[in-house]
Order: sequence, then C-alpha cells, then structure tokens
Amino acid sequence: MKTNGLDPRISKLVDQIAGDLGLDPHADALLRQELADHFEDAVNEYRGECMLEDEATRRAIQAFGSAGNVRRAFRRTYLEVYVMTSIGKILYSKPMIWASMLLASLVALVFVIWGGAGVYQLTKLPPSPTAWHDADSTPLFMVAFAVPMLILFVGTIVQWVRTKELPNKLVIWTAGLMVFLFILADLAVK
Amino acid sequence: MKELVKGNTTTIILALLKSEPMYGYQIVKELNERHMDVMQMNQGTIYPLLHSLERQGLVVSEVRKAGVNRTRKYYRLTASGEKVLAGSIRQWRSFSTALDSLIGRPA
Repeated sequence: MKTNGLDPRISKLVDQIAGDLGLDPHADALLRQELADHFEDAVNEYRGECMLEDEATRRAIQAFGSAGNVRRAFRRTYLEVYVMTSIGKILYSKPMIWASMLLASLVALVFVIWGGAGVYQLTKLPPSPTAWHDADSTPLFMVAFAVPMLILFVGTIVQWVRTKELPNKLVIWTAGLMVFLFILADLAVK
Repeated sequence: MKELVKGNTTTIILALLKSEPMYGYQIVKELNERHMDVMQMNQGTIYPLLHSLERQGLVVSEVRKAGVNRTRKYYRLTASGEKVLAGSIRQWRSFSTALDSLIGRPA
C-alpha cells in the first residue's frame, strides 16, 4: 500500500538515504522529491515493459543500487553541512544555551559594575570646562567600553527570546558604537 | 573498465550536460543507451555526484514542472563547468594520444 504516493519500500529507501544528512528542511524536501521522481520514472519505464507494478518497483530498487552507498556518498558531499549541523545541535542544546547565558550574565555584570564605577568617577569631576581634560581618562574609556557591551548583552537576550537567532547586525552596530565612544572619550581628554 | 569509468564520472556527466539540461533519470538512461556495456553504473550514484558538482559550482539545478503534479530537477552546466570539462577533455586527449603511441595503434 502506498504512503504519500510512494511504495513503502521506496519510501523507506528514500528515508534511509536522505535521513539525517544535516540539510535544512527545504533542501531535505528537494532531495526527497528528486529521489521520489527518480523512482516514479524508473517504475513507469519498467511498467512500460509490461511488468506488474510490484515487479517494476523491485527492479527499480535493484537498479538504483545500495542505499547505504548512496547515503555515504551524500554524507561525503554534505560533510561540512552535517558537521556544522551536529556542532550546532550541541551548541544550541538547552544546557549549552543556559551555560552560555550564565557566563554572559557574569561577564555583563562585571562590565556593568566597571562601567558604573566609571560613571561614578565622572560624576565626581568638578563642573569646569577643563576638568575633563585634566582628569584621568580611564573612567571615560570604561564607560565607552561598558555601555556597548551592556547594549549587546541586553539586545542578545531580547533577540534570542524573540527569534532564537543571534543578533549579528547588533554586534556590528555595537562595535561601531564602541569605536565612536572611544573616539569621543579620547577627544574629551585631549 | 569499471575503474576507468569511476575515475572519469565527472567528465562523463559534464559532457552529457553540455548538450542540454537533464534530470537525473534522463542522465542514467542516456548513459545506458549510448554505452550499454561500458558506462553501466548503479543509478543511485548519479545523485550524490550531481549534488557534489552543484556544490562545486560546476552545474546548477532548477525544478521544473513535468506534467500534472509532477516535477523534475534539471541540471545544466555553468561557465565553470564548461571550463573544467574543456580541461578534462584536453587531458584525456593528451593521455589517450600518449597511450596510443606507447602501445601502438591496432592494425
């Protein structure tokens, strides 16, 4: 009895070949469809030679060759995809995500304290035009570094909660902001 | 002979695709019809090879409708594929010329 229009033997063979290659759902579906199309063509050809469907299916499967060999060949072709997907499965597993978030939180806490200390020191400066030039520049640079890191950390949490994706653009923007703030801090103390 | 075919499968596939875009089963049939005894290979081996060629940029694929509720994935040669094929053909001709001169042409 056919499932999804495919003979169960063919369906099983397609699963055996295409299963767990690490492909994204679209590529996986395309591959399965391509293999299904092959068997449809092959079975139709054998039926055109007056074979019964069961025999035509058997011949088509036989002519296709070893599913294991084909699967191994696909695995070699998509090796880096499979490896990255496997690494991704480990990196994006729940324990790893929680461990990464905890570590990032600790680092962010250090930056917040450090940046806070910098802000505190800046507030201690007398309100005079030359005070910033005369003062130690360290607090300014602490703030210049800590503020973008805090934005990046909060943005990462928010983006992850919303979309489960890393905020690649935010990384670029905060790097730019950090450079800008560093230049400002440097100009302020010169 | 099997080893010869195995070692030149890429060239064989690229040469077939040079004439027209083809889908996997069509390539298999073409090989069987043109060179019955020589180019026989398990049909399934075509597909990982085609995917590999696509990842190398030597061919590109597109899915086309082929009747009611039917699709076929066609492959065609890219410019890179044509260059590689031309190089392979040059190499093969040099090799076969050298081999012919070594073993002596048949009478």
